[in-house]
Amino acid sequence: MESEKVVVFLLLIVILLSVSAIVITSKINSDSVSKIESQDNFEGANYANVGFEIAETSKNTRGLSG
Amino acid sequence: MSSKNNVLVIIAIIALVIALGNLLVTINKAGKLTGYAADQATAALELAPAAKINFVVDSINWSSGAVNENATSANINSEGAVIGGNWSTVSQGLTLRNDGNVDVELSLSTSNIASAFIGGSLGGGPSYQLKVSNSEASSCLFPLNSTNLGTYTEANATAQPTCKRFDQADSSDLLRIDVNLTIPGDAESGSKISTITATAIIFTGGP
Repeated sequence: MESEKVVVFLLLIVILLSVSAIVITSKINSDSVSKIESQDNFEGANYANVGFEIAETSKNTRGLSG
Repeated sequence: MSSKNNVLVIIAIIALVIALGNLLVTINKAGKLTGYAADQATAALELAPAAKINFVVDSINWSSGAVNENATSANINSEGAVIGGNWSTVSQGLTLRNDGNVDVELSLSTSNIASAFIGGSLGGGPSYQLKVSNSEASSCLFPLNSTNLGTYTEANATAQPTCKRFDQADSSDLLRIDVNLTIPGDAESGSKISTITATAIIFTGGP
């Protein structure tokens, strides 16, 4: 009677492990496909800055104070 | 046969079927990954087209300065000119490189126009101009027209086509972008910044 329970327990573990292996294998396969598909790059853009500073002079401050 | 034995048989059959399925799936995947012995093999690789541009010189800054007292405006550019003012000399233009594996159509846009970027009105008002030229020979294979390259053009804050075919070859993939500014004497003091955006789309053919 005890040996039958052990057999049932072991068989259940076999089923659980087998199902897990199938799920994991399928997941790895689908992840690989999506990573490859996301590598396409069809457009580029980039940025640069141009700058300077205008110091205060009598010309450019005239009228601002009053 | 007792009912308990029947349960055991059913569970055992289910386990056998699932284990067999797992075995077949695993063998199938392993076969694809490792292959098996063959007397001929072919390796094929398709390289996806990728447009990628990069400013390798991405900043110009003339620092602080002012229009000379006896001038109505000043002119500064990235080719070393500082006329009518005392800003720092800049002799290095922006440099744009085609880092992708395809030729591209190039457009440039600015974040603002002269009136917003510089301001003022004396001496004919402000001006904000860009000039594109080959930093490496033949980098722009198809210019827009005969005067496209090497001519200053006023920035209008919209994307302006700049080069119909920007080459991707390592020996000819570098463009220089120079900036020319006219600063009125009455332009408001303070820090002035404009952002230039370069946009590339894959060249599809035709000059």
